[in-house]
Amino acid sequence: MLNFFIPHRLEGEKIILLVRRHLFVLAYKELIWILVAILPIILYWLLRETFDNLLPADLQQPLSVIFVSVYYLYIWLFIFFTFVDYYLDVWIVTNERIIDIEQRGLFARVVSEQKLYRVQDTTAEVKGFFPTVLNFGNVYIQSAAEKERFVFKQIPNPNAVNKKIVSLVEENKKFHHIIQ
Amino acid sequence: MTISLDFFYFGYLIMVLFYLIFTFFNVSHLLRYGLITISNILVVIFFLGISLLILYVSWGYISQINWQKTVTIPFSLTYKE
Repeated sequence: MLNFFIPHRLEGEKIILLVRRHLFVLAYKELIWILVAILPIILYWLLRETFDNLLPADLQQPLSVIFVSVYYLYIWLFIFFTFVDYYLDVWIVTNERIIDIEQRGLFARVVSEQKLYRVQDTTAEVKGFFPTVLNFGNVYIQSAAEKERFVFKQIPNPNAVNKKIVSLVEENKKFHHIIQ
Repeated sequence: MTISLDFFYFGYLIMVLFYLIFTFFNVSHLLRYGLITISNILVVIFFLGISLLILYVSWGYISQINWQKTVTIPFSLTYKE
């Protein structure tokens, strides 16, 4: 059974879909941090003589040790933070509503929701080379009287998710006796 | 200008303190909003393990340095041929 923290869970509410961004998006971001981690090694290798003469001999070792330690500690922290940010950005479709949970940095978290029966229109979009090859993209959900659309960003199998949402919306509208 | 190496050492400790604060927030967010599951706990253990390894290796080098020592810093850092 799918399990995740849902704010003010309704009685009998079941998670039908739990979607995150495609793993490629996470891998791409982590790759950037790995490149940033390798960068000082390449720079030192290229400009070794310059670095060796830049600081007084007494300062070289202490500052190098401190710099390397802090630099790699923080790179590791950013790698972890990127994962946490990816993991906590989630779109949940239950049998009653759609919930958009977005982690914005460490100190902001936005949770918005929409009742399924209020959904009017959904669109799946796959755009670009990697999204086409790896089959990921966006799903836009337009609800009644809402200017702002819900967007499931860079999710795997957007067409299948779109189809599932459409069928859940139809079921939910029948359940609530809303005739289209 | 002379300066004690302590100055850099305390700067380092402050950076480590900030690291620990951010680590706490990351871990607590993951466990609070992502639920306490085995995979989450393994991710946290892996992250903390690598963090401890970095700190342990750093300490190996840091403990060899005499931080009481004072050094003279030239006012302009110039490249010596």
